Amino acid sequence: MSLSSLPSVSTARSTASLTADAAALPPRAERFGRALLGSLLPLCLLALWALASRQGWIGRDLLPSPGDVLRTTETLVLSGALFHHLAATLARMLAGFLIGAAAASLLGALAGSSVLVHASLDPLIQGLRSVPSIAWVPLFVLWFGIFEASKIALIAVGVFFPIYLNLASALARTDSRWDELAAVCERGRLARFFLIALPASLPAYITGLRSGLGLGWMFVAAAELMGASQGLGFLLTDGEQTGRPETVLTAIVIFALCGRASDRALAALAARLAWR
Amino acid sequence: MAEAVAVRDLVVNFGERAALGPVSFTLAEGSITALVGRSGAGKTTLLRCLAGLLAPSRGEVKMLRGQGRPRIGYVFQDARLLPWLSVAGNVAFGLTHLPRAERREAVAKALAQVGLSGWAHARPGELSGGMAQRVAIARALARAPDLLLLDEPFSALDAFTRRHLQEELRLLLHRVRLTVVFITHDLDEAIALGDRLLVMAGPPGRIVADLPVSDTGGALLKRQVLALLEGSGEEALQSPTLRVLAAHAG
Repeated sequence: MSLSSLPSVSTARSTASLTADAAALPPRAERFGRALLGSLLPLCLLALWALASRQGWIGRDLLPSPGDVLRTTETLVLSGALFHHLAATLARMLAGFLIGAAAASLLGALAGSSVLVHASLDPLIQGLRSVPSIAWVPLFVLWFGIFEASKIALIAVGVFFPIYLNLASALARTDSRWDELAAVCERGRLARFFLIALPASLPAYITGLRSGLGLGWMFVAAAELMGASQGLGFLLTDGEQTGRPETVLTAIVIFALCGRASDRALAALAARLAWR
Repeated sequence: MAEAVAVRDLVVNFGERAALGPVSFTLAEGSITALVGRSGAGKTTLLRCLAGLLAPSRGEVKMLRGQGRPRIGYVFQDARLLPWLSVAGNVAFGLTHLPRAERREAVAKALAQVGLSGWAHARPGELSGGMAQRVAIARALARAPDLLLLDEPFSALDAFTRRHLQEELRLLLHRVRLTVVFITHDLDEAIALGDRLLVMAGPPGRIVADLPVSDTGGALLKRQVLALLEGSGEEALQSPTLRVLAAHAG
């Protein structure tokens, strides 16, 4: 009997494909149901917020109505100010993320693939990780000045640690069974790193990138609160100092939307790259 | 038949604990040898020494055929496919010694040998357990190995799939004429696939009988090996059954 005539063989592919499809693309009704469920709580909060404003439970000088926030957003969009501030924040974020991610990827790869590098590098990085990030601010201002460089450095520090930790630990934990496979297949160190350790670590690395991105958004806000003349963080301080809570809330909503959109974009990219 | 592999006084110690040996035997070119014995008898340790995955504490494994470094094909108990590579990528994983065009040919040939020609671009996650194990066999065969080693390749499969794969492997091994050593706990499988049984006991692992498998007398051989394995170590060596078997093997 030929192996290809086995019933398990002839049915396995269709079954596997169906399973994969089900995992990748839930039925429309299920997706709609999930989206509805996920929107329920935010919509309730929005309704409660609108009701509280209308009934005057909280003063408008403290919590403006959703309509006020929409109108402020509209004004900022029409004047072009929102895009100006958004572009400044995105540029800082992108530069900080790229620098932090590149440094973390390089050092994480080295520490994860060499016991010697790990032993000499990791204690220092773990020590630096325990420094509260905001404590770096005075030093960065002294080193890089009060303009862009110090803000980008702070964002890079925030992005660095989760990426480094995820990559280094995933590489170090690569299953030793793959090493046996590489040995019997006579594959060298480079092939073991690029064909085994790196792809095996990719899911953890992507988790690190997403965590780093999330922290990057926190740090860009902190950096712009330190003192900036443009950016969404500047809108926050400007709104606070001029007594316009609707500007503050607009900036918060834009931060949330940016964070969510960038995470989704990274997740979509990861889905194309990662094997799991 | 010319000898392909010589194992001389092979000993493996894990720290203070003696795990294997001394064992000595030779493998004839194109022979199919089954290693049988209880758990802890040193079968996997011996196989890992043959593959070069484990350095012996003493003794040597000498490959007598082939030029340069001998090529090993190894099939693990689990399929051990790289899930981020396609089926073809997994089969090609051990073929760096070949130019690209020949590599493609070798992959296509090996997949055809195990009946998976249409699955070259599939991912391991799409395969059933039996299919994954056949890809692992294709990966080992594609290397055109001087020595093919299989460590209980079907132990993780259900009985139905195992029986079919055993039969397919039997036909395949007799077709490709490679020097093969495989471990199994299934005496029927050992007798069906092998032309020689090395019966091991331990720890420390030793070969307590070296038996040829003839076309007839499989049931008798099975009874004899079972009787042998029921005794342990020295007892087994002293048993009249073994003396008969040893004389037969000699």
